Amino acid sequence: MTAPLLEVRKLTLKFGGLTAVSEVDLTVQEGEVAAVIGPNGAGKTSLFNAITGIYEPTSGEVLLGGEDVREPMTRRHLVQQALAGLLLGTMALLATANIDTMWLAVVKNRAEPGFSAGAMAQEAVRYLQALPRIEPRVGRFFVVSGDGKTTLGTAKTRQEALVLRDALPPQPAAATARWLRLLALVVGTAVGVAAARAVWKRTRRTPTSLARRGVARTFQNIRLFHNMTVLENVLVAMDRHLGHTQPWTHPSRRLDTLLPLGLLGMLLALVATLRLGDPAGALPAILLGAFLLGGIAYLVHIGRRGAFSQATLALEAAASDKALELLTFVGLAQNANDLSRNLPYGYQRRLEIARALATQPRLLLLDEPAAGMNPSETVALMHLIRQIRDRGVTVLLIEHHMRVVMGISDRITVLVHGKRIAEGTAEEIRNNPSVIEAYLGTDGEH
Amino acid sequence: MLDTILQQLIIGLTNGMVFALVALGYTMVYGILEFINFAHGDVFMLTSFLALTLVGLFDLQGASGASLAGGLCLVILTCALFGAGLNYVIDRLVYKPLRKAPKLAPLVSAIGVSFILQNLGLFWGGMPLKVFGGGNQAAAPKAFPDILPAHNLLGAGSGLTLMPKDVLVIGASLVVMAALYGVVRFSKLGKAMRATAQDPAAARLMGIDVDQVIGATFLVGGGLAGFAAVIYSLYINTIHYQMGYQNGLYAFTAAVVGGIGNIPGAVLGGLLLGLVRAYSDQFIGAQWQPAVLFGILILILIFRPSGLLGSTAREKV
Repeated sequence: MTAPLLEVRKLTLKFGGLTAVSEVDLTVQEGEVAAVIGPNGAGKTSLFNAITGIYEPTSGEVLLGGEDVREPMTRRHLVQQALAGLLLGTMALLATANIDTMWLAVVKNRAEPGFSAGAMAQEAVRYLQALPRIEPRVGRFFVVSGDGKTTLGTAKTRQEALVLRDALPPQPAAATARWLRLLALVVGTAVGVAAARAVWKRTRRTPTSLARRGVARTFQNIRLFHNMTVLENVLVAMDRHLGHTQPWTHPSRRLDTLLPLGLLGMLLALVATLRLGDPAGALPAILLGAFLLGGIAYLVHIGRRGAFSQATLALEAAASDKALELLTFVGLAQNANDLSRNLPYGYQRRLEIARALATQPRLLLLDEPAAGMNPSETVALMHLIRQIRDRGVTVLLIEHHMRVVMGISDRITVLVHGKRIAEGTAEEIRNNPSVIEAYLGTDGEH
Repeated sequence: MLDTILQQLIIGLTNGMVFALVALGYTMVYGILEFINFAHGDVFMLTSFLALTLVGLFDLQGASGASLAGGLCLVILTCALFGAGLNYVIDRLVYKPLRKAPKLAPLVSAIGVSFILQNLGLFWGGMPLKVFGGGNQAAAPKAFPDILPAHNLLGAGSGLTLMPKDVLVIGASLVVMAALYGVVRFSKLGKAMRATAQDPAAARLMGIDVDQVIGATFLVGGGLAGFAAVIYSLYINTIHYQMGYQNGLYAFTAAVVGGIGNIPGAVLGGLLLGLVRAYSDQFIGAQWQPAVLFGILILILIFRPSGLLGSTAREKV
């Protein structure tokens, strides 16, 4: 048996002391219409928000097609976190190592002849290990202990000071300073890794990543792009599937075009400078030539293959057709060029559905789609939801209209006070005594 | 080593108290209006000029005993009233007409008021007062006389220094904060403030005069800034017409780290800021202070984005 399309396992969502959703299990099979019902405040919308990545569940799992919806930890994330940790650890190390004296011991010596980058690095390492170092002060060079408290000798030049230091009997490193620095490095690294992990954790499950995995939704309180036209609203949602309309990501033979032109530019610039008799200017001229001709080639490339290419225009046209097809499907084709804020409420709900469908979801979550609709609109909505299912999109909905829920749902889950109290077909739910007691009360329709 | 750590604890706490007092003004106004009163730090600055003027007027330098205590009380009281009044007047003149305007309008106006107050400070600093050292440049930092007795309360031989002014700063701040907490928590005005902060429209429907509550908030915030200005001047002994900017920025940061809109949070943030500053000055170097300080604060905000005591208010979807 294949894994269900959506599987929610023991999902708990807490807001401070309030448990909005408590250990809820929910399974939605591919191709069915499932419903979540329950009285106001039962945690239905919170459950939706947890599934679509708007809230991070306190505990529990959400699986899509058998896979955890959270972005998995990859090696890239590990490297990033380790780097962030090392960065902070190094900063903490430098902070405790007293940057001023380190500057004095390592960098200020550079004015002396024969002090190379390698020697500087060596001095830096010695300094951080709290071993005796050389400090230039008042025209003399002092050999001081690692913590700077004891002067071990002075000399007129750096070379002499070096000799003096090397002639010293092996000095113990200043233990306190050394341990403090090590501690700073370790603690800083740990805090850095923890901070990077905390940031990463917040981005593992986002509405964006869920949308890309094929989960779309509508909202209880409508969230359209109010200052766009109806068609634009749908087009925005299609963008992810439009393919490469941005020239800079267009996978064409970019290098093929750039490389020869860049080389030609270099050659021309070289010839020009040599003819002008200024060999010293050859290198800048070559770089400039490559840059200019390469840049021109790139712009031409963008125009031809990207933004203004036939392929892109065709893609845009196809997207418009697809969007219009979706608008026809929900019955809004005649309003395509109206601003969405000017639509009547019921139409706005339909537009939200069309927009959600434009992201090409596998699973569509509808949060109270029939709210505020009159009986005939409600019937049309039920018809629309069935049609959506027939297009191959699985539907999970929250609804208070019992006629809608009972009429179209293959499976119903009942939430009360954040807990699942029943699950089954419409018939089973209707006859479940605990549901009747907790939710339906005595007068069947809500 | 232990002495150093304890000494920095005293310094950090006293500095932190000043930050906390100024931060309270930011956080209370933000809690009610969701508006950052950038001029708040400059109210603090102007009041410190008043404090210096009064110290000269009352001839407190060199005074002792009852005359010092009485004079100091009078200075603190006058400055608190001045700060409160100034903040209130700014609100009535500048922010109130913009109450219903888009949020950026009062924000930009507050920045403008901040500059105006700085110029007033510059003007004040140019007055030929004896206590300003006469004939000084208007923009020069002014020395604030050390009017409190400067002896070590722990005995001359102790490795630790605890001066009367440290005790005054910490003790007086604690009393003022406790009083503020009592007012906000238990008084009718406090209840009205909390209601207005949570939902101004609902508060109005309950018969609360929201405008009056906002005015009271500015009064209280200004009074705290005025009080802070006196103890800051007594403690730091230098005032300057641009000091409102940096101290205001630090205090505002303290309010954000504690959780903006949260009164205990502002105090906690202020103390934390003061302590981190003291220890980083001691162990890392004073010139690295802003980098270290704000680096640590960024780190705290990464772990707790809404501040240490801030509620994690989630967007209702």
